[in-house]
Amino acid sequence: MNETQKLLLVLLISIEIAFTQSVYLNLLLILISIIILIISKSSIKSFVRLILVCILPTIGSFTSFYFFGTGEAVQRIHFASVMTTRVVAYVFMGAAFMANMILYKLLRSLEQNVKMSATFVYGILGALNFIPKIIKAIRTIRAVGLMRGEVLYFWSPKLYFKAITQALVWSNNLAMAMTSHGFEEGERRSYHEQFPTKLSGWIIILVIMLFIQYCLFVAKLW
Amino acid sequence: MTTLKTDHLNIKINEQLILKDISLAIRPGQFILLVGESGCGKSTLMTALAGLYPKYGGELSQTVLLDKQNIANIKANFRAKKVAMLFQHPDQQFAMDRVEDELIFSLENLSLSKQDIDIRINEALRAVGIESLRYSELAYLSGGELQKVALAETLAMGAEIILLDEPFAAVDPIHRQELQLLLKKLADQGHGILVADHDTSDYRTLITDVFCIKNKTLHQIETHEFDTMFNQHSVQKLLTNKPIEELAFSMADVTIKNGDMFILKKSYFKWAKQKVTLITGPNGIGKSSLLLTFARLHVFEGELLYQKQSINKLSLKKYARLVGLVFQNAMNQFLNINVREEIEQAQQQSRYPEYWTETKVTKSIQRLNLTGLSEHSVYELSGGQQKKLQLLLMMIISPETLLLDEPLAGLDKKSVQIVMSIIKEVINDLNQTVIMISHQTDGIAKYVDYHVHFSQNGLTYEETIS
Repeated sequence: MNETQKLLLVLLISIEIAFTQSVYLNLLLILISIIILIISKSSIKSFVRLILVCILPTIGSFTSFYFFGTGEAVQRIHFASVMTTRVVAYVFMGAAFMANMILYKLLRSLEQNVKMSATFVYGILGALNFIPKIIKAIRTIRAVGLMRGEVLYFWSPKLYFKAITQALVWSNNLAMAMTSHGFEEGERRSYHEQFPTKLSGWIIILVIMLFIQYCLFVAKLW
Repeated sequence: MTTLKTDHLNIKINEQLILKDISLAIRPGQFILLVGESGCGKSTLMTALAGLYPKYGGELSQTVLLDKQNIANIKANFRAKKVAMLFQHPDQQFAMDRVEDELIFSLENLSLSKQDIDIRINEALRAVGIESLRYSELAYLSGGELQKVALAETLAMGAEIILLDEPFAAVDPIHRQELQLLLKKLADQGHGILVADHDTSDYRTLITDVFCIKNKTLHQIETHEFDTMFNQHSVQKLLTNKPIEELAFSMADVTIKNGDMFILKKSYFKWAKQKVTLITGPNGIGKSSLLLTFARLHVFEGELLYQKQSINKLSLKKYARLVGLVFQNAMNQFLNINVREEIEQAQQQSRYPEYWTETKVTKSIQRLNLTGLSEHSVYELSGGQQKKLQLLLMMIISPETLLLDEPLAGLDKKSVQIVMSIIKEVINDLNQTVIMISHQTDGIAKYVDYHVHFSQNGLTYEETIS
């Protein structure tokens, strides 16, 4: 499966579970995502982080649908469970997807397979490469502040003003350099590495989606 | 064969006339050196010649012609095969995070096939001698290494005319000579080369023409005037070389790493107090990381003492006022928008306000040729002006110890002497310590007390600067 297909599969499943109300299917998806995360050797730390991320939205959705929903208690429990497991399924599916894709490959494969604009692809890549620089710049600005007798706290507007000004200068310099290196918006580019969609990938997507339909509409795992 | 040409060109930026009546042609086989004081408009001219104006700001009165075509109207992917530019800030010219990916990016822009891309990358990396950096992350490379990557990228694209804006500001003398010879070879192979450099040393036998920007216009310098123009490298002997008495820093069992690479391993070393110590050494050896360690901006293991106290035990706020760093990239030093605000801030926070009186500050501004810039944005200043302002600010702040990372980069010969004499004068008056890194060492021996050479074998004191 290539990165575009992975993204497509995750999106399709997400849309499907957004409109259906199966607790079992959601639980199954969570379980599979956890297995994928374990196989891809995710650290305990990242599991803890995922669980922490889940806590607030799960408690929030469960309590609001159970206590403030309409209908019988059984219905409310079912609906609250659907909502809660859905949130967790989204978080874990997203994590499983992220753990198995390389952003560079994803963007390049979107560029090749769904003709996403190269400006967008390199804009995002450039911006991501800037993130460590910006973090370093903020640290440097604070150090410079101290050397120049000014304590800049993390809420000081001056700190952010400086960081933004630097980012503007950098982005302009980078844009100039990219132009000088032959990058022109809307022009044809070649691909050093091809990221074609694979037949096996389409088959996997088809099988998984059929299986989900089976669970939902034939086995009626609600 | 490609020719880049312009006649009677005026360039304005933000409605301000920067250059006037410029006529210049770059032909295959020419190796042109462009000189001029910092802030005279070298970068502006280069940017215009590269076809980046008016898209990126400047306003041109005439067209720049690439083989009779207006270069600004040629699409970037076609233009890059003919003309390419190397920028002054090596760390701001790459879109990707790894060397190979960056080269692939530029070659994909030219719509080349995979085979062609691989061949060109191999050739370009070999030509510049950086095959070992192919899979490196750009974030871990030194300024000099980054410029080599940029040059390899230009070569890979096959640009016939190469414009280089202060490409050697952060490059050590050995690599500088290598790259100069490489440029000469490229010129001999039919490339047209224009290089802006404040430091004229070692060019004499290589170049075909010299141009100088003065009073906003471009002059060609005749061959008989060359003698006064070119710096000659010579071995300089230090004036003083007494044993070190008092210590600023002392290192015991200190290990410093950059990423996974060791910079210093279990090093023992002493740094003199109230003296000027110069650090030299090849690119990427870790000179900047060493200064960052002194400034507590880089982690280390072992024991590092500042005036007999472990630096990590001192409060950060207090320490920052005692030990100040002048960053390699001047932009890091600024906290405000315009020059006046910067200077006022420094005066308010100075440790010696009675020394840095209004007259003293004004006089220093004059000596550094920064007069009349007070309402200018610090981001609009030229590279050289930024360096001088940055240094002045930290001199006014007057920490006990000043760490200077390439304070002379991008400065012309005259400015180097002025900057060094100001440093020397102030630190004598205020009993400060200076530890400075510089690749540019011409004519500075008389200001230096100690010279430390940083090599693969670590740090060693030397009595000469070569």
